[in-house]
Amino acid sequence: MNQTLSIVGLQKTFERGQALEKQVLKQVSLTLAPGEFISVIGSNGAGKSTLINCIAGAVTADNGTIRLDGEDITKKRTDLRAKDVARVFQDPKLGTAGHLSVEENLAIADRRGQKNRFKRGVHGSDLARFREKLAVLDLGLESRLHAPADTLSGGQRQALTLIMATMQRPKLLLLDEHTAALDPKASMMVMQLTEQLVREMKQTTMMITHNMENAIRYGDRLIMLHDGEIVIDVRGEAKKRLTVAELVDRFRHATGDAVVSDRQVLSGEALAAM
Amino acid sequence: MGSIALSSLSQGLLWAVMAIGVYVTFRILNTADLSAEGTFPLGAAVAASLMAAGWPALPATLIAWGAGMLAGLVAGFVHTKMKIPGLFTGILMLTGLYSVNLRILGRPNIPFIGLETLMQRAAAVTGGRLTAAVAVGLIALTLVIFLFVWFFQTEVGLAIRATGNNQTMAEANAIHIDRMKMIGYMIGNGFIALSGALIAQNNGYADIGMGIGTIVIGLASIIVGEVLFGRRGFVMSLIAVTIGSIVYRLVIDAVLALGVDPQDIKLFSAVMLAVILWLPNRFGTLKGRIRT
Repeated sequence: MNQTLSIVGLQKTFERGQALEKQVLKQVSLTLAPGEFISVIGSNGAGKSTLINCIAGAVTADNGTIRLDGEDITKKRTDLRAKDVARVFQDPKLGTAGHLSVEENLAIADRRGQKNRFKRGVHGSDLARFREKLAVLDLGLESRLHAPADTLSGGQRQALTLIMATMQRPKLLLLDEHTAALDPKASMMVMQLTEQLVREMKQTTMMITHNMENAIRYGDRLIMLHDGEIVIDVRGEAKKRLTVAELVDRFRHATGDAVVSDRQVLSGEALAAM
Repeated sequence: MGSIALSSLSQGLLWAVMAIGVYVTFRILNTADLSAEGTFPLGAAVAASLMAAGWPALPATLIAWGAGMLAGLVAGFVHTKMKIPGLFTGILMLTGLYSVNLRILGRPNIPFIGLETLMQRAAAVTGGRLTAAVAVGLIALTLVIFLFVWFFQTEVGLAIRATGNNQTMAEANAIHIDRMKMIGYMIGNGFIALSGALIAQNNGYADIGMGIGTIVIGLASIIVGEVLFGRRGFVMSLIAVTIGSIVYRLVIDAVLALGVDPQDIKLFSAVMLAVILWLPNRFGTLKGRIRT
């Protein structure tokens, strides 16, 4: 079957040959079917961020291959693969250029992967489409097209980044703990927007999260990384029935390690929810 | 006194072209590029030697502009492809360009005696040397501001601004950041060389040492403008830089008129820039905030 994302035997070691040598990805293999929405959980240092950085191109893997729609992108330059791999970061400031206006940010995202020319960047004919996209957010941004992005709140900026990431439909959408830095209300708003966009567009998506509740509630499939390996992979009906308690249980079973405290796996929010 | 003010105004306008070039690398690309110290006299040297060889003033000035862009391309290459930090890139450029400029000039100083400069051609219309300098300054500045405002709203311009503002965002949106930085370096250093060519003609000579302190003057003009007007849209920011440049020149000319030895003027401008940079951090600005 044709896979959107196909990762085989991915390995990454930081500080190789030094005292602090850390094998962050031991052997990760993973395939994503077209339209699949997968959530990735794991404790700090489990390798979640390194995995997403390898896919986005911010980190180069030592071994293994990453294929996107059959194309080997393992060593492709970040800005070249950005045409197909869109990304939303944990820090809301990273996804938009703060000094540029909302419409200028949108215009850049709208041209992702196309050649930049010496023509006006923001076309009057685009504005109606921009407003339409922003109106969906119900944040009033459609009337603030000229406002610099750094005048928006964290939640607004993250919502704008999501719109930008999906403006030119990417082959793969990477969400890197994209609600973790937001307050609970904004976090919920951005999560709902994510669900809505991903479902409407049938967008193949990989979402890293610290929040077990979100990982269970959203997505078709859930994997858990531990010590650089995938220790849990649940999908379909089993995923729909999954509870936080069961997930913790399966984690203990999978790692055979009762010493690991829940805190290492769970965020405070998820603990509170138990 | 009036002629001193008019002289400050004309000098301020011509130097503002340089300050806008520094603005490109300092505020748009977010690097303090010392190449200015070499590209400013480069513009002067190219214009002077071409005119000494019989070229008319206008094409000589435009070629000087192009030479600055070429130097900017080299700086951009050194910075991005050779991955040398911005500060070192500037130091390499200004050191290397010193020899290049000497080669172009052929000797440390070329006077424009007997050559028709842009200012002399303008004086035929305006009737006075100072008004001619003001006219040339205004024309050059209008052209530069127009080009700047147009360019940084094009697709390439947006990509350059995004690159300078947030490299992560730029990369995530498939912007080729190395290329954008190189173009930014070219634009900035082009303006700086153009200013060098104009000021040499206004002064009546091109000199190998005329680049010393260029970056200090550029930064001082930008910061003075921002202290007075805050940071707003492009047109306002560039007008603020221009006014900053004129105010700076007025202060320098006033100090000279008070009898300070011209030899001490570089020290004075360095101290002045230090104070200008320190004041907003210490007491806040008149309008808005400031980042250095």
